[in-house]
Amino acid sequence: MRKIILIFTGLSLIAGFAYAGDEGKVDIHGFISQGYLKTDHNNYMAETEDGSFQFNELGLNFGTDLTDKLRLGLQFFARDLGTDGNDKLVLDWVVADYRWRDFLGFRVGRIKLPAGYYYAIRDFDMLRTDVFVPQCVYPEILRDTFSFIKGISLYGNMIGPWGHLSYDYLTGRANLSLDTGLASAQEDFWSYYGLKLTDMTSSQSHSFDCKWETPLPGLILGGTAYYHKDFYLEGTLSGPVSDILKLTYLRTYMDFKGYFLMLRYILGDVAFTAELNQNRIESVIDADRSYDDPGYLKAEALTSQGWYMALSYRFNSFFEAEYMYSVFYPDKTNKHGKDRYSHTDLNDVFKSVGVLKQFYGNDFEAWKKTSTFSFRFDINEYWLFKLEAAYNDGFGEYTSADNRDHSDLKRYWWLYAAKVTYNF
Amino acid sequence: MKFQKRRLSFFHLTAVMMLILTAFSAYANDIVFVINKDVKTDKVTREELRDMFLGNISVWPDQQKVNFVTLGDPETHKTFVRAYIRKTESQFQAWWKRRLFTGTGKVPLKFKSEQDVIDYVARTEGGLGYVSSKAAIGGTVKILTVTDN
Repeated sequence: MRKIILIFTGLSLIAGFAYAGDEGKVDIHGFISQGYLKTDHNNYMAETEDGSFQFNELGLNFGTDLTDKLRLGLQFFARDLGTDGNDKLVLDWVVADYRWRDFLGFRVGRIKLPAGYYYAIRDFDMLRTDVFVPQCVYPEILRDTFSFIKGISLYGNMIGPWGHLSYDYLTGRANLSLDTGLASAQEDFWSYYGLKLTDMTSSQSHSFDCKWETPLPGLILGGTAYYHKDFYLEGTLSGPVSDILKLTYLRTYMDFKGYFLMLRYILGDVAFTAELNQNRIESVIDADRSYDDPGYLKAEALTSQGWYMALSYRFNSFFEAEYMYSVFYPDKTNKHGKDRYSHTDLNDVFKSVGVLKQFYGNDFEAWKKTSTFSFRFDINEYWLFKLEAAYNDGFGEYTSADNRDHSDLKRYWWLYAAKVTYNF
Repeated sequence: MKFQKRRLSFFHLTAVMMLILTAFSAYANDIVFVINKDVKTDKVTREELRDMFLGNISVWPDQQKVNFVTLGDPETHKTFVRAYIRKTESQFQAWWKRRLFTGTGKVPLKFKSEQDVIDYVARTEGGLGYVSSKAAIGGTVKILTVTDN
């Protein structure tokens, strides 16, 4: 990490001197941020009850125009958030972009996935008012998996009296590996079976995103549809429940299907944004007594739903404030938490090893309703500072990995965040 | 009485709209757009100009690449983004940084002085820039007329 910061500092100085007029050369840009998280109850994304500085990001960006139509670019990225990231430097994206006409261009490589308004930019603090992107629509466990697609993209835009339409279709393989948040969420969900994942691979992904800037100045409507097919997870089982059932192997095939709908209206310094996301995970789970023995086979489907509305106002070049209300249901068929996860056939097993309550969790883990107040201070073009306070009702999440004991969870809780960012 | 109230509201609305338009026109008159002499166009609509500075239109009608630059002078730049891009300075900056950090574009070049803008436009194919109406433009570039339709 030390080396990375030294390189970052050197490059930012070089880029700082290259104020303008360096056309045709390699453009260098980057950002670095450090945050602090604190909750009054419940750990959220890190050990936040005690306060946590495990909340930072760093990015280095290089790009050059090879011809009028062809651009090459790449970005390195490192982050730390609780147990995720651990400042490991990864290739965030690398793209060859050929813009044949304005209505049709091609990108190949590791391409940022433009899902919803925020997915592609969730790592970049300087592009929004809030510290956290709305978790109801952009859950942290899917951050890595929805980060990019390795494949191709067809994109373009059209302009007419009806407004301006931009579109982007991507196909390829999504980011799925043992380092991703989805891996830790799966291990957490199967913790009473003692799941240790040994392999994760993705197959085919498709995504289509479009945004329509309507003839009414400032009004933008958008949508994204996605289909991640045949995510494959494999691991070994060795825990209290799997021992009773004599299960040793787990193989899971998962499909992710979903959509985002977006409305954004900007009137001068006021911006209103609303988004809805519905995500369906269809799984076929095969837990075996040995690798070749088809044992306990189960098909499951879970549909989550989230939405938010946010209103922001820029008072002047220094200060911007935002209020957001968001709602998330991990299982939209059970918004009130009664009889969550009806694994009735396994209740006796869970009871016998004393984890029935932990497995089912609390009623209020079926929802999360959050009011967030965010304040952004632009110290100058390069430095910014943010403060945020979020009041939560419920703990509806895909995973509660940072809270092993569900009985300690509290229904009402505050999250406080502060973050400082430098970008050039 | 109701009718009178409605007329009054309509009158107020029209007056406010006129004031806004006048204000924007006043702003707009403070900006002059300059282009490279080899660009075979003298006139664009306000919407076309906006799309050029937002990267949605990347070529001139004669297929030369639009090479636009921005001006570092805060007052002229602020007037430009409000009057022609319909964004605030921070929204304009975020628009381009979004493209930069997601690998879908690059931030426009920014020059400190108006003379630097004029010099860049004069020597660059498809060059496009803006300066304040007080700038000494000279004969190395030509002026681009911006129409409402």
